[in-house]
Amino acid sequence: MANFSKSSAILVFVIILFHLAGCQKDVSPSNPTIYIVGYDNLSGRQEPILWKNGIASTLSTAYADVGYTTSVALSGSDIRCRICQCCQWVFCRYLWKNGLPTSLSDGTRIVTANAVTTSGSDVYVVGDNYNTSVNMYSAILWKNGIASSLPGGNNGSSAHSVVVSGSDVYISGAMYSVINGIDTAVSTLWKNGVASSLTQSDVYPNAIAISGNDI
Amino acid sequence: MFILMRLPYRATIFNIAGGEPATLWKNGIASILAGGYSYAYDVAVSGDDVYVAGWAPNSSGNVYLSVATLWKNGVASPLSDGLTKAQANSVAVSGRDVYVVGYVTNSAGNSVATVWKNGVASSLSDGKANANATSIVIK
Repeated sequence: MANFSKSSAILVFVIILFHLAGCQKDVSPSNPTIYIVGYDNLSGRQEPILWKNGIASTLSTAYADVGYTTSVALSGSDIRCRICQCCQWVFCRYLWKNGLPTSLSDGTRIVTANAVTTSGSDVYVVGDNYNTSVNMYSAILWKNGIASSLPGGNNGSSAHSVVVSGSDVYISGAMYSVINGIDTAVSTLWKNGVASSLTQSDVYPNAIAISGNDI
Repeated sequence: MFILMRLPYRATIFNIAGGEPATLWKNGIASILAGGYSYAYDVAVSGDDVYVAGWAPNSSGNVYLSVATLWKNGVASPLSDGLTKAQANSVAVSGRDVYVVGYVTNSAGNSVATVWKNGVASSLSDGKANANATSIVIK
């Protein structure tokens, strides 16, 4: 009887342990959905890829050449990717929403979309537009597909990253100027389209993260 | 009454000619993340912690065998072994889990798209051709 009681106690203890383990699993954070974009060669050529929880799917492209997917943003159930596709020197023309492309360029200029973010129902894309007539890059913000140029230096500008905090839109990039005959890149933060130069030249802000009131 | 002045966080890449190291500006104060020529590509903030993804030269100072690196509050964690070229492109935080994506070059010389969860690598591509993971978001 004593042995039985001891065995029963151990059994109950083990059951409780399993139960607790199960409870811990139940109260742990739910598994997040992980979206990763990039490129891979699944069908004989380099193509833009979206991995959802490790499962690859190809973002089909209109041109049979190199495609890169370099930025991804979520808004509700929508997935937006910006794609860099090299085709006849017209780069990075597409913003993808749930697998369907939206052109960011009229195809006559070299356009680079460097980052995408969403705020509510608004979609913000930043990048560059290369104007071949003046051989100059111009930083561009597309808000819901509508392009607006950001002020630059006397030799143009480029935009690399965008974040939205409340009603404020912050964009990092660089303004290009020729100073004393030397090409100079001045790292820049645009707040709602107004540029403020950062202190060091030839430094390219590549990403911004917001924490509380920090940018 | 205290008025707290807050200035930008920035992760930057440096011009190639200058060869300056990857740097994080926190509240306007620059922190050098790695010696030599190095890059910082992405920054994420979770609570008080600041994470930066990029690459640094390997332990021999070889920039051609770059080490995919995650910096947490300025402290580097190598994600690759420095025997082949690797790079971290993007970082995201979900709860206590930190995810980094990038690539690691395999023995065949192909870049393998890779995701690191809390420093543990998983391949996204088969390594038969060049692939790269450039950005991550978590829902």
